[in-house]
Amino acid sequence: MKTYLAAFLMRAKMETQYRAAALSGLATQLFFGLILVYLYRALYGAGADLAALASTATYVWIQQAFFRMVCADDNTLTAAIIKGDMAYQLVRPVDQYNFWFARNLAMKLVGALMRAFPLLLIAALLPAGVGLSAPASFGALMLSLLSLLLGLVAVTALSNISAGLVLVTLDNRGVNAVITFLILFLCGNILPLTLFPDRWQRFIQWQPFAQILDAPIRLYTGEYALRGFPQIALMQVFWIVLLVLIGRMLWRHTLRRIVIQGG
Amino acid sequence: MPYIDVQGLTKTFTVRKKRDGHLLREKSTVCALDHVSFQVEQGELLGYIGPNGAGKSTTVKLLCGILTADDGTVTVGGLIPWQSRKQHAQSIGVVFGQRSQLWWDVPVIDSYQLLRDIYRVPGQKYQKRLCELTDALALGDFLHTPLRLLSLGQRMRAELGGSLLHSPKLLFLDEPTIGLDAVSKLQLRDFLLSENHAHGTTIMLTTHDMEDISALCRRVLVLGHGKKLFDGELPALLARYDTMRTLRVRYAGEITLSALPESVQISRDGDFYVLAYPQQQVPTDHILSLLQSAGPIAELTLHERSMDRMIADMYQEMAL
Repeated sequence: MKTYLAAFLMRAKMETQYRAAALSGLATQLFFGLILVYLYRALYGAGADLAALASTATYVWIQQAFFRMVCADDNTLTAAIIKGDMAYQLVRPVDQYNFWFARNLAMKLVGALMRAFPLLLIAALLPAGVGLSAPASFGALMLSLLSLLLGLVAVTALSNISAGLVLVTLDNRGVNAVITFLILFLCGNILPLTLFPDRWQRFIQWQPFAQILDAPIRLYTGEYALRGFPQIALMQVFWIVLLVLIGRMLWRHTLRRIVIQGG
Repeated sequence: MPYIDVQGLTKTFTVRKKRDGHLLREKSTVCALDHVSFQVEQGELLGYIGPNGAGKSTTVKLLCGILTADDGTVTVGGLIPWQSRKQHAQSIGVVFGQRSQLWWDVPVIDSYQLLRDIYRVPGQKYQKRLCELTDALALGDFLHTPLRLLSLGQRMRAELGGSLLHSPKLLFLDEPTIGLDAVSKLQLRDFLLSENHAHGTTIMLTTHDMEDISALCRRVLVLGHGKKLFDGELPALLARYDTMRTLRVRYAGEITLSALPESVQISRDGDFYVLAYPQQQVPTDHILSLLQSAGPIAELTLHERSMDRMIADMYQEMAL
């Protein structure tokens, strides 16, 4: 356990060094957030319900704030696979899956926190209907944070699966393009899942992608009642277990037949 | 029972080729290792040489447990590497000269601490080992510098230190002196020798630098096209190819060289006569007395063949 904690801390420390990247990420997310918020305001049209507007804006801002958690992977892994430094990784007395899980988790957590705090602060200062609204209640905030933590684990498990696929294809671009698109679309980054037709929503809410950020946001805005939390958490845990199992199987199978080419 | 025991080790790779004008790729198999067997005792220093593509790195990867053999058996310290990968990994250290194990964006010491936790080296032992390695590899100046700011030589030393932090019983070195200057190379060799003496570390060295081999290893194993071609002492190997001597001689004044044995090849290089002769057939003292009788000698040097030449001849003769 200590080994994986060390790997986590190391990656977390590394992430804090990329301050310029965090700053430009912040600017990008602010820009996209504003565009999306005003786009939805235009779609709602004049005379729209302020509560609906505020809820959608809040949804957009939280999505933007945790963009790095959802969409970025630890690129040192794909680099190690492509360059062959993976050879070193394989002679370590560690569980490969857990090791990279710890690193990915650290990167996503620290990377997201560095961007989320300032972005949400700025968004909270914007006028109502454009900016971030306060949580439905204190309990809603706490449970949404808990659910966000589960979402973080779920998205890390998902990212470890895509890393496992890079081990097979030896190139991260194809796999990432597909998975990133799926995540962006199905976790509510491009269009809030709350705006999908009801029939679609019932389907999408069962998907693993909705467990990442959609569920925590709906807890935050009060769309999900607090007493529904056990069911939401259960669904998240179910997907975490499944994604981890798939990932571990993929890694075990792939590492057995891996070839480190050249020299 | 020997520490490393390799019996009939075989490994083939599938190579896919894309042919012009064909949609489907063509598959072919390459035999990287073809029934190779050898043993290594604990504390031995073994040189592992062969031309590019001979299967050296494949052997190392199999012995590390990264690859799985197609046929044959390997045990290292009683374990089959690819079956007990984690347990095996604890007792080996590896330096892949062309790859990097330290993290690019963080100071060397941070990477070392992560390695300490990975190998579960106890705190005190780690401190002692770190001091030892810092002295021996002169790491002090850049231990707290991020890896990306180091020169190639510093980086190689840092990489080597990283591979030795957990005091492995067996050390694989794959091209460890790539890009090092003369001073660093000598330091590195001294260090490896002392590591071997002090801790009884078994070292398997793969390199194209024959000076590394001759400075460190008594025993060499030659591999070519996946087959073992020679396994024995380096001097014995070289003696077979160390047959020709070259002599450069300059006379004070003009003379005519004559009456030299037929097997001596003569050429001119400015004022110098260059004589190449097979030492076994024509003893050097015989040549010398002939040269002296031709006139007053102003300057004379005798050359051995360079080791690289001999190795090149050896590879050629073995049709590699």
